[in-house]
Amino acid sequence: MLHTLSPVESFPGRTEIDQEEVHRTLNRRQWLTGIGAASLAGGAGFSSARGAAPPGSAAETPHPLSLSDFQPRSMLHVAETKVARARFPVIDIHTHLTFVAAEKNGVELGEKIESLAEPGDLLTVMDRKNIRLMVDLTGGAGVGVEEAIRKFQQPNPERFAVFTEPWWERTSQPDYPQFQAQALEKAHRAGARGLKVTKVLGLYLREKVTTGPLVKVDDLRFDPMWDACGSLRMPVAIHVADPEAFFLPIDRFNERFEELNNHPDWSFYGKDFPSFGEILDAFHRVVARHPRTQFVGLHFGCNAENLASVAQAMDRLPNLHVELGARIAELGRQPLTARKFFDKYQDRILFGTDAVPPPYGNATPQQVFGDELYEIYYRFLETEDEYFDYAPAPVPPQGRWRIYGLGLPDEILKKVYSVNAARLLGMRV
Amino acid sequence: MTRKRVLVHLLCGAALLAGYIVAVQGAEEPKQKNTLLLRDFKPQSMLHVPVHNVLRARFPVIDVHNHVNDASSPASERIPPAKVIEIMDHCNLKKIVILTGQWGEALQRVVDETVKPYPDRFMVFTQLDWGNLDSPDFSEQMVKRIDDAVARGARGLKITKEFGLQVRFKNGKLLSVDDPKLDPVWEECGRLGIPVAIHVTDPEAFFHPLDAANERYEELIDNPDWLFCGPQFPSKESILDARNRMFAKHPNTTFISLHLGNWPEDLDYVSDVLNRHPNVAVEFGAREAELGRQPRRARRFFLEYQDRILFGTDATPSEDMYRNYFRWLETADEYFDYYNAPEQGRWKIYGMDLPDEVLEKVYHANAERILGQFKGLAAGK
Repeated sequence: MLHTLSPVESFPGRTEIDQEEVHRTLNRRQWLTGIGAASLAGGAGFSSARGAAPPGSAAETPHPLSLSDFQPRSMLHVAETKVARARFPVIDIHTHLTFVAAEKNGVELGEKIESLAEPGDLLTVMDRKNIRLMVDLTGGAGVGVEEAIRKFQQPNPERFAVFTEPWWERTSQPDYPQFQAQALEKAHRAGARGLKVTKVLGLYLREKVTTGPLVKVDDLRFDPMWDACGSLRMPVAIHVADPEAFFLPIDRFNERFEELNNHPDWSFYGKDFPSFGEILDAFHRVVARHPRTQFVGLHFGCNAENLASVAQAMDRLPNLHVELGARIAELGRQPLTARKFFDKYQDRILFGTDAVPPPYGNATPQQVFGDELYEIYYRFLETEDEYFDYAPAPVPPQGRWRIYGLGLPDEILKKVYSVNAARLLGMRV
Repeated sequence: MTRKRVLVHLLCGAALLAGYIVAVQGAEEPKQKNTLLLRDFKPQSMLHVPVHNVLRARFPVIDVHNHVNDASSPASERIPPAKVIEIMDHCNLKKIVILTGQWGEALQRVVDETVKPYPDRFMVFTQLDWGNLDSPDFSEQMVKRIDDAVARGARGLKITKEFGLQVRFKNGKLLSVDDPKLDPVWEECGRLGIPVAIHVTDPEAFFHPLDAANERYEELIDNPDWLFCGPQFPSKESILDARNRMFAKHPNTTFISLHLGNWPEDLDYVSDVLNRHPNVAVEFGAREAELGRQPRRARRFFLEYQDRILFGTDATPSEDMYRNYFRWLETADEYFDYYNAPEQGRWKIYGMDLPDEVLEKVYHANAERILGQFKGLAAGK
């Protein structure tokens, strides 16, 4: 379509008009839409309609508009269902209530942890939102995880669970494999309920911990750790790689352009980073090699954009489960494909949000712990609402699109909300 | 994913955080974020979802909303009718209705050049000439024009969108959509058994300021004369109210309310219009984008009003264009471009996966029923 414009004012009265002349000044689309026909057809006093500049006319309109300023308001009138409480009790398997304090080149170091919230504050929200249990995945290692357990899990064992993490700084030492297996046993005795592995593995951890070549996800030195998780019945919650767009240049074709500009350290394009596919393949090799260990592939198997591929992995790997934290944006823009996946794999999908308490979570609006976050997740899972925001933010933070609810039936909701997680955590349903 | 940011908070405090951000952004094309223009943003979807291309419609199609080779097309823009028919044959298009046929000699040209050589494949509608609006006998003139147009071969009346928004009397007063001056026109169409294809108002966003919150910002920047925001324009609702009063006043005239009753953003409203006015049908030309972003609500609408929805495109015939509509109507594909995206707004659409029974009605049966009401000049008063 051409977009050359001609102000309507330029049209003279009907009778003198040369039709061919009008056509040279009108674009086709305007013509089709009828403005042209009106002018041709006459319209005494027609042009007076354009006399005064209307508010919001070109004079006041920002042009050209920066992408970052564009905050379109939807004109759709569609159902808006508020789901204040989950229909069934919830286990949020993916939250961050503590973090390892020290970090270098993206790798957490040491045992010291920092706590991001007080249990009492969390419980108030949890009771309101029908959250039975929150799992603090990033509990750290050594005395750190013991501290996290003491703070959250011990006083409220029915409401909080803490996972431990690998001792990344020891990974370069020759006795690491045995050390790590023993550390897991120790954490387990202290009460840790599972192991969390962050995307540090595959994207940050290097042969000399923070320098040297990247360590692969299926590196053999971790085999005793994976096996110990199996024998201790500690599920492994694992995040490898990241959205496919993070492995592409940050340019105007990148659908997560703004997110990557807000978080440039999330770009894994170029340098010595493996490809998205290589990381995922290595992850699947690990899961296949340790069939007695239960793996929860966080962020929907780390591949929410490609549910056909996740389904293939699920079919091949019966010890693989997925979790939906921070991926309702992806799932909600393919609601039918996602719904089919939920129907088929309803026993292996866990509810999670990747929630981070404020103010720490404020840089990622899709993850700020609070009422709004859970209401959006519940709306996504329980309703068939259409075209709504996946995060409470003026610009959708993970990509400029809106989502659609899955409208899951009760039977599947129960499983996703808590039954599947309870089974993996060895809890009574 | 938030962990690095969290750590920065924890370890460094606010001052260092600021330094960290500057350092990181300094390394990564610092001005890119603020300087990328909306118009340059061409995001490529990373979704891997099924794609079903529908090369031919499942049932023969009548496109009741087209402007190909219409009365105002200059010779240079006209497509040889045989070429249009080739496209139609590829896509299973049975017939195209050229809505903007004007009247008199201009209409005659459309009839002679396109309709007469292929009477089964093309149809043309006539239009009103607003030029003599102030004449005391405007109504009679228009009725005569319509009779003449029907004698020449026109089979319907098209009303374009300046009606209600821009057609004014010499004293500057807008012609209201329910002005009694037009009653004889609507009645004559009813008498002749020709439908009135009517476009009244435009997308809701066109009635809002053209600013960064307007979801059709880019479309309006490209077409500033499509903006109807300001004191000189009535509100969308008041124009549609007048239209609905007009529908109610002429129950023996069939109206094809174009662009999904001109409020596809609010299907509850359109449903209400259809419930109250049995003489009204709707058509969805150039509204694939609006309906496709609310696929479940739209599907319910299509099932409920399956006898009153007509296929139309409002776009120059091409294989790609028709196939886009077919994909939207026939498949359950997700997150794909509407035809001409992102001209109407930056979103993607979803297929409705309509059942055969509904497809057949929407593709041609409803249009055939309405166009088959033709009685012609011999009809009694």
